[in-house]
Amino acid sequence: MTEVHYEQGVIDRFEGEYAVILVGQAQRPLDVARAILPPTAREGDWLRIQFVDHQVKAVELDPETTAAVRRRIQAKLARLRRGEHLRGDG
Amino acid sequence: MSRQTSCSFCGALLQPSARFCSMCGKRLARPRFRLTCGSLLISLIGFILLCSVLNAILPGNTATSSTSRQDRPQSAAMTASSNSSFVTQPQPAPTTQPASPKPTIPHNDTAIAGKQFLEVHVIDVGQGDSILIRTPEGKTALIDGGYDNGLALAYLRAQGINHIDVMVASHPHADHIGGLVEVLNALPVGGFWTSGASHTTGTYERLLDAIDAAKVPYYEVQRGDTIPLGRLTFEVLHSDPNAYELNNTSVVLRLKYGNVSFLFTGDAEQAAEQEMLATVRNQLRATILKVAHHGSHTSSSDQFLAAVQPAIAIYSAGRNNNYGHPHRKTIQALQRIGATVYGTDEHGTIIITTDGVDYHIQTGYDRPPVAYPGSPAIAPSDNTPQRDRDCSDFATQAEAQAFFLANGGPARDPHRLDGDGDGIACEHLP
Repeated sequence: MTEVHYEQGVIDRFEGEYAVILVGQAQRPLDVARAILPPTAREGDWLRIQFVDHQVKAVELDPETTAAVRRRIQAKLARLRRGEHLRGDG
Repeated sequence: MSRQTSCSFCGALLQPSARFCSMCGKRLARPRFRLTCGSLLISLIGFILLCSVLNAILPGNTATSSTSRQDRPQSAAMTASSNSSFVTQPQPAPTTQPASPKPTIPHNDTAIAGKQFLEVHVIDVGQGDSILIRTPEGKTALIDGGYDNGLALAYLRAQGINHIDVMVASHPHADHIGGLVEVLNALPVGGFWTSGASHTTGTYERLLDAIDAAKVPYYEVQRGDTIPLGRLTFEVLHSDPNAYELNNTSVVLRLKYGNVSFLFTGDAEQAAEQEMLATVRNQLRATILKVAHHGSHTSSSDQFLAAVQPAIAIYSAGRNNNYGHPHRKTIQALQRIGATVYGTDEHGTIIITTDGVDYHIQTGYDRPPVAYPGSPAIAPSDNTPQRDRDCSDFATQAEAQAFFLANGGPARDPHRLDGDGDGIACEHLP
């Protein structure tokens, strides 16, 4: 009986022939052969990962999530840069 | 029948014979030896006898790797030829003496020796980087924190660290910032410094959230800036938020304490090294180099190492990591320039203690420095208490096994007789 499930992940970095993907809410690091990824995949791209029997079977880019997370993070970074988090009740 | 096991800490898939998780670096709980009281007693008696014999044979304390001004080939020419600053770079003869797990300098106890010690701890956090710095005046800096596997915070707690004055994220990869999130959530932090390069990972977002929640001042630095650490300062030799690859955004720092200097390189690769050679070449010299990017061959170019001229090179890498870190080519390049090499995968946490003149290296595991055959010999090893053995030194497996167990068994294996980590040394021997 094969078990199939999907998880979100994000490419943290490339190390030689591997992409290191942080998977799920826990951001669990997972080494995936670079060849499995779409050739345009870059550091910071969010992915939809198909696992079959807990092995990575297929990976596709999730540009909507990437863009949404990038916007959210840039807003948080801007707040730190302006020092807004140091003032008031936060 | 091939099967895989998984790490109970992070879930990474591992070879069944693995003793350490290649991802998070934690020791896997798989006891292989049941010690009876009798065998424990016999081992203890044997150990005491061995110690007393060694004590009688060896003059003084040879179990620690330290250099002193007296040991060094000192010459007036060397002092005179030091570059623009008044600092003389110590050029100690490399030593192959294995470092001891026991400190010879009382830990941070400056009163006893009447000296002021700076400590740099390259913490064994598995695959990742984390470096703790303690100054004589009690200031603390943490450069990177490894993955969010709890190891950096646990180490700080074990060292009695209750605050971090200066926290630096060299760059936003998870094997450098994950543990910083845990430290930010647990200890007061005086300020956070980085290049300003951002990432889109959940781990990076948690870092920003933790800085925000703890109300820690956030600073972005450029080459030429300094970061104050009490009376000392870090010089920023590289920091490029716009580099194409995040590794090359790495904040590279130099810290000088008297005549002893440190270069912390993050994961800076050859592109960043070329920029530093073009802009700050004459500031790169350092006694002790934290080797960039876990010893990857994509860093540590010959020109860069020639400009740094380190006496000691230390990399941080996870045991049996998937990436081949450290790469043989890097270790050989470091040996060629005369550096003595230590790594967290081989030596555990590595602590350098210095009074600004001499320095002392203490390692978690008692092993000789990292070296590959085929490279220049790093030093004569006449005073090495015990030379490195390999399986060809033994006639039978039983003989090898006895030696292996007498030297700490699977937990230490300083001679690496048990390559696959199954507790049986030199399996191919009769």
